[in-house]
Amino acid sequence: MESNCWLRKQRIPIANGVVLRVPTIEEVLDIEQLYYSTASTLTAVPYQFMVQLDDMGVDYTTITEFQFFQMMFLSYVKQETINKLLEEQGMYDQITPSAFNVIFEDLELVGFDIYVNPETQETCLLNSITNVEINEFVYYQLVKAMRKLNNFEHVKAKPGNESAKKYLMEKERRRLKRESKKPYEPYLEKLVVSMVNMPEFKYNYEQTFGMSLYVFNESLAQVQHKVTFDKTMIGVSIGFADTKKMTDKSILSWIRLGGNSHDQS
Amino acid sequence: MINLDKFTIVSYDQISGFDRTNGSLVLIMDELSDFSLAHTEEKSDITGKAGRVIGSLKKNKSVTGSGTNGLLSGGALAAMVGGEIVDGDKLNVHYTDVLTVQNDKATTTLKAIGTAGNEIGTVYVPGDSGAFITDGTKLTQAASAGTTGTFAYDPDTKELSFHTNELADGTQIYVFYTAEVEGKELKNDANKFSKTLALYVDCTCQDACDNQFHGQFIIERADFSGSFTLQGGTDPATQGFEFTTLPNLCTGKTDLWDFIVFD
Repeated sequence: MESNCWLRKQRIPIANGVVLRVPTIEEVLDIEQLYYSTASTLTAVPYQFMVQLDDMGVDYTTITEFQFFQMMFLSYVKQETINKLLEEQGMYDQITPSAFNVIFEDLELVGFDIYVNPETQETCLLNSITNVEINEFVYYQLVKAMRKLNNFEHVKAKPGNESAKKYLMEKERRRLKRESKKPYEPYLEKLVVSMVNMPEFKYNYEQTFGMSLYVFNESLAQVQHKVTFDKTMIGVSIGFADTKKMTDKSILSWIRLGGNSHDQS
Repeated sequence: MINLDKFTIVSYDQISGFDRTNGSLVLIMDELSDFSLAHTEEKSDITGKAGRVIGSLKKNKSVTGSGTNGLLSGGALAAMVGGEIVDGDKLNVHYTDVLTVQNDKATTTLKAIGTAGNEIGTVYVPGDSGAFITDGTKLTQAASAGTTGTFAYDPDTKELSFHTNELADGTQIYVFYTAEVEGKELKNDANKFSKTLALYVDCTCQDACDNQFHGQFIIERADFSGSFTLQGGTDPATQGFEFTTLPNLCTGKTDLWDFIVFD
């Protein structure tokens, strides 16, 4: 029987034919930028892509998270279809790399398209070749698991009125313009180097490379919590920090209590 | 519509400052890494019989804004030093050239200006150690390079001429001179002090239901502090700033700031 403990999981079955892999640190490091780009796109909400959607003429406040996921997913399907054609023609150097084989277990992308249920008018992603279906329920289970696995936050913010919508759009455009000039900075690589050199983290590079991404993320959160606890306690001991005035009381215990904040509400 | 009973400011996005006299834009800081508005007020107890507190006297209400912008802002610098940024096409700078001698000649990058016949003054030729301050040879400017140890300079052609065969081809020399360039200039005049601007702080507010709104602090008189440090080195220079908000006595308004959330 498969363990329910996420620390021991290597795969997370979501639905028939849809199984998430829990990749090792080594697997992610090999394709870090591609992995995080794909994982963050699949778990993103329309708010996070407001500029890109606006450029496409889509109002990000009028589409659902599932509709946005369908758009993004189909763009990967299209890319994979092109890759298959290039592979058949032996044009291997023109194939765009994909992170899907690291994120999913044997998920065949080619064949996926939007299927509209004629009775309910609800849409889902259906692979006509493999019959794998990603409906809205499966989608929510999938992104919930992906967020938990990757330590991603579910962004729930939305504009409260038209002027806020316009303001947020301008702000996001400015941010993207700035970000576009910056080169990609390895995220996980920096975390691995930082953690391996922390006395609170007992593992060396080789052992860390073999760790699952979820285990590493949880260790990172615990080490951060423990370091903050230690520093806070030093402050309390010498009288610089008053525990009564602390808004976050969870820091008064070195054991990280409370639920995973990535669960969907 | 935002519920101001329960809300938070999730980010301070931009500070724009305007001249209070002519309304022209003076500064924009939109890379705020931190910002705070600190409020203070003094309160003295009024005591009555047996030292009972029967009231309080409140005074000296004050608001101080401070923060850091990730990038230096020319306008903010100008506000803090009390200067103006001006466009100039004849701004004097001191220029450093590392030149290579070829056929007893070398050409400066820019046209050196100054007293005719002493535009450059000295040419530094490094010694064997590569040092040219504590070692090497110093050539002196003259009308012509007729003798050893001298050189001539023609500002029109920007050409340096050396005494025949004194410097071998390929010799590197260092010259320092004043030149005119086009650019933007900010002067820090000892007799001018930091400015008071009309300031607008744009921020993003969020209510308890994750709805976001555009908010703005309006500070009619922000008196900038002239005490700051321009720091550089291993970390990039950032723009630290501080201002005190003042009531607008001209209009009779006593607001230290107004906060408006856009509907």
